[in-house]
Amino acid sequence: MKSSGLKYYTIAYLIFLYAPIILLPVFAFNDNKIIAFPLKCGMTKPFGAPFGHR
Amino acid sequence: MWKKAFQIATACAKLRSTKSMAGGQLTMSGGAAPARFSQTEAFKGLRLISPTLLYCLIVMAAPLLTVVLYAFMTDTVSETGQKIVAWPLTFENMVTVWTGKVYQTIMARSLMVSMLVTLATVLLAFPVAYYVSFYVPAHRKSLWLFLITIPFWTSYVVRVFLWKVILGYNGVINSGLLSTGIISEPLQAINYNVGALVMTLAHAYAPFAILPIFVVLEKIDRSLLEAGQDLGESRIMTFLRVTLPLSVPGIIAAVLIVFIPTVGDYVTPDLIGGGKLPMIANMIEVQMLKQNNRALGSAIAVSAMLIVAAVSIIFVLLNRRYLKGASR
Repeated sequence: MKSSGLKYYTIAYLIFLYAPIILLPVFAFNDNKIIAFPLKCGMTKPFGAPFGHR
Repeated sequence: MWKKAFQIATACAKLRSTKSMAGGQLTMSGGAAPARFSQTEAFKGLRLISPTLLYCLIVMAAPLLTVVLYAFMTDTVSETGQKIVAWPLTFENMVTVWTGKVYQTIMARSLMVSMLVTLATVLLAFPVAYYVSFYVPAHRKSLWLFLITIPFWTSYVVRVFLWKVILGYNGVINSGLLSTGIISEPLQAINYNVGALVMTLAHAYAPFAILPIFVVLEKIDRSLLEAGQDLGESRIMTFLRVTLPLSVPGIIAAVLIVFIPTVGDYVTPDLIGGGKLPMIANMIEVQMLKQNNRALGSAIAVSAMLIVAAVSIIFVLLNRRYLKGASR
């Protein structure tokens, strides 16, 4: 089918659209001063912050 | 338009009053003109729309008129030492804006960036809209449109900031490539430049390009494509000679919807450009809020509005051939 190329392009475009959104929850679990890889996993700290736990 | 609606309403009211007079119901002859006007349908119509009309005037026209008025006034310091916008109407600020090198450079950059963004957004969006319209089964189309719009449920600022996270000096791409050992130093070609600006804005305005093009593609009569191929055209030639010309109204809508707001975009140059690539909105912000030069800021805003309007009108006029065909 001729549409397969278009289909892959559309999926690639959707990945481009979702790229920042996918990173949002990933960096929610990051406990580093700067937003960068590798992640320093401190899951509890960022999630505690809104509730006053520091 | 208002005038026409008013005329029609008045004509209707006249017709009614002559009818009722003929029926002998209306005995009142003469009377004060204002009292008679308050009985007409035109008056009733105006009374009906007046709350919304007033709301529109206050919310939309008043700020715009204020900016236009400020653009021709001058910034001075009052007796109490506060910066105010003073009366004598002059072209001073407009001349400053139109002759100043800084303003010309920044306006040119804004136009260049938003033209590149428009080009990138529309070119990238067209195949997506085409795929969803022509190849996705009818019952799945709304699901695909839904998938396209989900990323835009978060705040615009959050999305722009996340692009900074991806493309920045310490960003995801750089730190990812560094940790895998592909590069030894962070790439600088992907951050704080026009390319990064264009990419972020092309992402932010994607649905505004996809949706109008999709709507137009949906309206194309599929039998025209069949006819094109029956008459011996190849698929590509059918696309170029039938689908593409018929989709031009949607492309024009997409271009205008993307181009007009991106010229005045403020957050992206600030975050992605790192303050090094100010666009016209950043300039307006500096003059209006930081320097408190509201007259000069308004002059920049009015000039930018005029330039954007001129570019948009020229673009539409260049393509009016296709728009005429669409309205028939």
